[in-house]
Amino acid sequence: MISTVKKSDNPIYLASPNQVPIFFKRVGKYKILFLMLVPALVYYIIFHYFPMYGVIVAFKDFSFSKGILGSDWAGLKYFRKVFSSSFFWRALKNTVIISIYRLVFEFPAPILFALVLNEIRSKHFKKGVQTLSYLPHFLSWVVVAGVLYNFLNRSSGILNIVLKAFDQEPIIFMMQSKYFRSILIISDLWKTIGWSSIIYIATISTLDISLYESASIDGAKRWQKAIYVTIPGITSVIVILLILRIGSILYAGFDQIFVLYNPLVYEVADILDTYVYREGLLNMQWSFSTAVGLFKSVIGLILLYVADRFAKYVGETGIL
Amino acid sequence: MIFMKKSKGEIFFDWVFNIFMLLFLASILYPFVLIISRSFSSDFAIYAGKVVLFPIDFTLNGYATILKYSMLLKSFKNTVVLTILGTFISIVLTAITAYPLSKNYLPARKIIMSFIIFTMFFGGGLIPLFILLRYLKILNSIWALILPITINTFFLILMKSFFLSIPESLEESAKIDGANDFYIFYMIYVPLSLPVLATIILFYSVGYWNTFMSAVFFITDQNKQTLQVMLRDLIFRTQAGLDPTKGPSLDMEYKIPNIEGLKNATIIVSIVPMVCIYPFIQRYFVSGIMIGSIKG
Repeated sequence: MISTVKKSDNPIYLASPNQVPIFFKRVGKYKILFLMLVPALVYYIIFHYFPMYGVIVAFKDFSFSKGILGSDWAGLKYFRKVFSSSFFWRALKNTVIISIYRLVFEFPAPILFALVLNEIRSKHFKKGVQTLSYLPHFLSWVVVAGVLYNFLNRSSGILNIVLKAFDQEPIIFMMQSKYFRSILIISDLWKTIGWSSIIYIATISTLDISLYESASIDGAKRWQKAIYVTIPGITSVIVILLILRIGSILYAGFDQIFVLYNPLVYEVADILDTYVYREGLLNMQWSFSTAVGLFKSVIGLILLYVADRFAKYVGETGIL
Repeated sequence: MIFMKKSKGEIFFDWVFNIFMLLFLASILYPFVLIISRSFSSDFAIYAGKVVLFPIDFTLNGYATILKYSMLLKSFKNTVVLTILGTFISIVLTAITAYPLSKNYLPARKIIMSFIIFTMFFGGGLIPLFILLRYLKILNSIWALILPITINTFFLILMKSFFLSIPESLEESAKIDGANDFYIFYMIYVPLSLPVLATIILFYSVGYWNTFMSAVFFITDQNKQTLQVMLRDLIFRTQAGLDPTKGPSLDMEYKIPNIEGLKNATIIVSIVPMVCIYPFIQRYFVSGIMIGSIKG
């Protein structure tokens, strides 16, 4: 007896390779759209995903002559070296400390700036200040370093000119560890406060005016309105940005530190990224520095995930 | 409208806030005034601490020396080429990628988006990238400064959000008329996206113009160096004398008449293009970003 079970009745058969032509037919329908995606996919695969594979170098005795595949397997040898290196721990310590400084000083600043700007009556003045406030953001750190040079330079720096006027000795600011973190924070504030405040200013501008009016009716004074209407209105934004900030705690500002640091301040200024750069590109410790970099990327990912879960736990939407 | 009587406390704080903002404004403007003044002053006056607000011993030597400084001029040219080429490639790639991703009916769209967004959260790091560029033999070339950063994922998302906000009916009627996807993209969506496109073009330009880190990592030939690297070397790595035909060097061969003037003049020259672009960023920026983010 010949079976009368049809092909289409058999669930296993439906999961067979005959599905493939159906998929390609759908792709074919959107041929042009997929073609438009090809360059970008190639870009991401080559310049983002291949380097992810490239971290395998951290587990090998990498040398350029042998290549990634040809190099001998080294297991956790370099990770052991990393964790027993005092320079690594110093870099990690500096990274975290600087990040926390930034969190404490630079995170609230744009919020406060937005709140103060919101209180300015004159529309023209408000717009003028805002426009100029994000100009420094578009400058390179080299230019900002040039500005700092004119302020902190031993012979011609404005600060030292002021010190001389008070009969004080000039200070070589940029080369002393004790000033470095402050210089970092203050110059970064100068550069980014305007730009970072945009998101808060934009959010405030979308708040419902009637909320303020009913607060007035209830007798709220100006500062009370700021606390009970404005701030709750921007809380969601603050939380999301805070998550991102905490998740990226190991990114302490490579660009800025790289331009401003020098061997005399490595004690406080050397962060994970600068350490990877020197050990890797200058001292050619390929496997060692890749191990440091991998450590940073993985911890960063974990932190981001944890911060995101926490945000969802307290009721905000999170980003992942 | 409720009449709000201002208490003394409110007027006081009005003053406080206004003064605060004025001080802030001054803190932004003063550095530039200072640098411009110093670019027109003599070294003697600068070192004596006299140049605080206005130029002293007015001279054009700072700027004139730039013209004799061949390495600097070369880096200027390199940066201009890099900015134009890089911006063009970046914006084209960003736009043609954002368009398909904005189509809800595209199969595997979510997977592709996740694939792309994941790169924002995890990366291989500097060393694997360096190894890759060496294998590709593009180290020490302009491509090392463009290719690794061709598409900024954030801008990609911005463009995608904007495309999503364009009514589907436009696409539908175009398809009825027989247009293909690319034609629709090029003839309909792109012209409608000019504010967002302009904003992103400006951001990419500024990014490429300011190229510093990539150049330090990947460019070793001083003839191919970018402006920002030259500027950094000029400000921080020179002694009082340097040979303008060789570039920044620690040899005290020729005494430059006005090194401080030169440093500040170079700073000014390097930000002039940015300052020219800034009003345009201003004009397009708010509408561009706001539209993109509201719809997203």
